[in-house]
Amino acid sequence: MRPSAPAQSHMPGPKTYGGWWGDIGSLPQKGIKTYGVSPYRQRAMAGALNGYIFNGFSRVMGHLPYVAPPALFFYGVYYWSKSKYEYFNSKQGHYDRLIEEGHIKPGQYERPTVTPIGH
Amino acid sequence: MRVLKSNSLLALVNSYISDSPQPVNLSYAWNFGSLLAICLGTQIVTGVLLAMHYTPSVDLAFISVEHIMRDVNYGWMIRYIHANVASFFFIFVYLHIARGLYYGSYKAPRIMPWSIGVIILVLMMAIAFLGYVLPYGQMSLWGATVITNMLSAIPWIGTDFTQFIWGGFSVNNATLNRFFSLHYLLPFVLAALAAMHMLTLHTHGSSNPEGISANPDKAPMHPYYIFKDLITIFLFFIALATLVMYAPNLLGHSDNYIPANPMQTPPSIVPEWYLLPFYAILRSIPNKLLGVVGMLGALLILLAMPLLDDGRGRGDVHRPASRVAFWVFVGIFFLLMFLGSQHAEEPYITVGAVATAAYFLWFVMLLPIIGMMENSSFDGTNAPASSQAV
Repeated sequence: MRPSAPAQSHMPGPKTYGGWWGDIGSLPQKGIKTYGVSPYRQRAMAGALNGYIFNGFSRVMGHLPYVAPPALFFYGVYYWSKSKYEYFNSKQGHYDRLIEEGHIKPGQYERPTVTPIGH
Repeated sequence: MRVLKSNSLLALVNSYISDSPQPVNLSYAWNFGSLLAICLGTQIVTGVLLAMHYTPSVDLAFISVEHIMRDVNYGWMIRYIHANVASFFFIFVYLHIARGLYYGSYKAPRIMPWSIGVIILVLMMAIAFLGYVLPYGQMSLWGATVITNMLSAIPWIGTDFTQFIWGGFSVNNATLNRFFSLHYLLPFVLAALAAMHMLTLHTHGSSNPEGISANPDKAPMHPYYIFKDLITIFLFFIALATLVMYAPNLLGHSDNYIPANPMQTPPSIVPEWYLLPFYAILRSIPNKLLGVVGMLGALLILLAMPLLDDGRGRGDVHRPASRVAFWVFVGIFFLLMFLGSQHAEEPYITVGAVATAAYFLWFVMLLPIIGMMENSSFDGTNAPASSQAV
């Protein structure tokens, strides 16, 4: 069976985006020349580690301007809401809320002396 | 002729995972499909083994799981693999979806694999939830109570329907049996959907990072991508083994080692980490029915991606604004995940409401507007000189 047989088998099917070998959907290619290097002359891993480290680094750095602003913003929201939560559950937070809701007047009671966590 | 090509069944195998033409420029972001297949296979095998020793009864479920952990040979390992692969399953599925969003895999002609994928995601979450109920610890019982109660938000028939699902007036023995039965059945439905996912993908072939046709340069799946897939599969096995052997309960909740007690609610009821973003959306909407609709909508809105992304290019590689928007979406997702794990108190309630709004606005506003802007700027720079304004 030719490798392109499934594509040319006249089976009913949708119009496909990518075809099979021999009918792959690209422009007809001609004049393709192939060359080979003796296994003793090949350096399959030449520059691999260098490329992995430095090319990898520059690719990550190139992506940083797109990732960093949203990441910093959402980390900021996370950090802000966590510290706000801690404040609301601290003595200071409770004290301030009692004043805010009018249950006590400022200076009516001594302010809590224990420093809330994270402040 | 080789039997791999002449036999009608093996020819399919050959066509899918051996001779299949693949773009040569696929990055490692295209490795998650094979990892997910490995996950599903592992879950079915370990799940079948666990079912041989498990008893779906409110009196025996918890101790039968302890029996698996203590008495069954390597039972502890089978159970920990099953529990941790569930987590990896979701890590990979989220990364797989992120790849699809970033590289525009949802666009024509691959709308079918994308749509089937969204259904797979919803089904996966249902299966994971059903499985979490089976050990019948505190979090199993109360998680099941919270989630099944969502059904009571259905207008008019809600309460009756919920009690119908329960088989009683609360989560009880009948519920546990039903959930066990469904947890066993649905993975096979998932496998069938995964087959459809591959079937519809195979019609057109994989997309590639550039977002343009890869037809001029393709390589066969075997050996090139089989061995590339094996790299991440072995990395996955290393990570899984580390978690199973050294920190098997890292991703779980300690309350699920307390036997289920209908007379006592745990201090906080949280789902597993992978459900947290959607749990946060559920809690952020004060109206019960709208909360449930919002949570389901947050998943199903992915189905509309091919319509909402009106950008003419495929993927974000050559669209800088869309690229930032993608990372904004990732930020919203992680923020919701954090909020889902916290108590429903201020300021998390307000931040949750804003994040939920942001989640939906990303789809229905940001995405179409950025697509429009990028299309316009593309037209401005690429229009023929004769049509450009002087």
